[in-house]
Amino acid sequence: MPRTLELGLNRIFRSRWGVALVLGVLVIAIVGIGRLFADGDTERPSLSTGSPAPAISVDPSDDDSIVDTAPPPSPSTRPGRAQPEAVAYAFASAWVDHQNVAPKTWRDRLLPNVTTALADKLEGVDPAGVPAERVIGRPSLVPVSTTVVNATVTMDSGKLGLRLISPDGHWLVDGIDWNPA
Amino acid sequence: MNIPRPRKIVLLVALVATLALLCCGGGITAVFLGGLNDEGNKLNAAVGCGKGGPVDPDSKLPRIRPYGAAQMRNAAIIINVGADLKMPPRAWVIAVATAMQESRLTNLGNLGTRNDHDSLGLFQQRPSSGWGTPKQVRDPVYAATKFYEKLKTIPGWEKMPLTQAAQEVQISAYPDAYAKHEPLATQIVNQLADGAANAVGDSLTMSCAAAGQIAASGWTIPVRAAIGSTFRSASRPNHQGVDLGAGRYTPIAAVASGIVSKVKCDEDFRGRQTCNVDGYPGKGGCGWMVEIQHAGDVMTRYCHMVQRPFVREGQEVTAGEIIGRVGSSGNSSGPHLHFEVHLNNDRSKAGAVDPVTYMREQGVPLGSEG
Repeated sequence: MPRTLELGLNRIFRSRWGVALVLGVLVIAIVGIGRLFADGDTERPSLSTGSPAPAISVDPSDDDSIVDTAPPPSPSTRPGRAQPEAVAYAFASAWVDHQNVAPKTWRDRLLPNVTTALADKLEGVDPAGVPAERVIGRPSLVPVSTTVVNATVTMDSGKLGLRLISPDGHWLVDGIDWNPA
Repeated sequence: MNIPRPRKIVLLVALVATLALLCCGGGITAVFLGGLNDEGNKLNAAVGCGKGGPVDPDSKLPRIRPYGAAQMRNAAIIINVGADLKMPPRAWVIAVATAMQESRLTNLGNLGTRNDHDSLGLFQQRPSSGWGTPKQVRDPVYAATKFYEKLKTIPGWEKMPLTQAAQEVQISAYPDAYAKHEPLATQIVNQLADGAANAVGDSLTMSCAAAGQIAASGWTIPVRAAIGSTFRSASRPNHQGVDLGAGRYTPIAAVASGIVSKVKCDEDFRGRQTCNVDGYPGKGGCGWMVEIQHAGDVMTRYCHMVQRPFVREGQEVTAGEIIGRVGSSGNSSGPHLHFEVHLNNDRSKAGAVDPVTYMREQGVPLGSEG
């Protein structure tokens, strides 16, 4: 047996092709062993939970985050509807007008420009607590997406922050923030 | 002719040994490092979840910019009153954030012509609305007590976004103004009450928030799953998030309350929008995806969902609300959630931070499978 093994090895290593073949077999064997090890490794966490192994990418340069990183597109408005800037300005003017006005009247003036969610939050608000007297500047807009815009309106005593949304091209105020000067 | 043979066998053995070491040595190293990481996470999560209780307001307090000694003392009083009233730690964060908006944690007297009506004190409570006498509402302990007592009467306040719970108590003309104070209020409660914002928010047990529970900080994890590929690892320096290996159709939760700012099928490298089929590595794109804007200019992104997400742009979501299901759409080799955290409202990769670190700081470490 050792004699035939010797002879066989002799033949294989005497020819270049034989050596190449042995190296090829070695590579395949090592890759195979590597695969086995990798499988064992990734299965380790899933054994405890029954959840599938985490997906691990093979490409080191691979970035599976968003392709689209373009700046937010400009807000879209349905024809015939007010632009977000006009809605923000109208809302801010009605919001700040709080002297000698009944709570219901104050809220009713805001309603045309607010979402139902915000209208609910303004239920029972006493306009006496509005911390500003007048609007100073025009709204400055920061689009978040085509349907979400943040507007800032400068007032005499601080900045009114408004979040406007338009799920259907009709802009309405959905959130009110206040930053005292 | 017989001489070269043994040499070749030696060479062969050496080759096998070297390659085997290269292959399996790396595996052993990886296993070793992975084990180390896991331990590190557990250690960090175990540190301070409020067991130590709130500090004495009259002791030397840490300062957290922009607040000075007097303001930190007021915050400590608010927290201590909450603990005395057996309110859970989420209430402390809400109360501190509310006082930050109303008074910058300063016990305000009458501001003369600049005063809103007759509002006074830390919470700007109004004697004319029945909050108490002017003297009472300027007493921090009294004011905080009144705040908690009213908060307790609001059904479901524990699960509401912070600003909504605060607004239900304050009924102010700026219902969303309290949200922006949540990150700093969380930090203050952690500093002044032994990490209490890391504890389960609606419980008095002061135990660290486990997977799926909402911490007093208002945060929770998106899925219960092990961490696969990490943030900007050596092998994937361009990986701007963390991969959480969850099964197809696993529900994905919003990690905190906020506004959905993007819902789309992200285009792939060739500009196609094909998200209802499984993607593959190298396809490109996030697949079915959602972005949520949270308080403090923080944005979270969820990628590779199996189907159109359940939320729409502009929608308000609360922590733990299901926004979609795990899938493998876009640049993906198998079902997983690719999760990103961005700061400063920066959607680009420049704004991305390590979600593992960030979530741990909110008291809700990722990778918890229980």
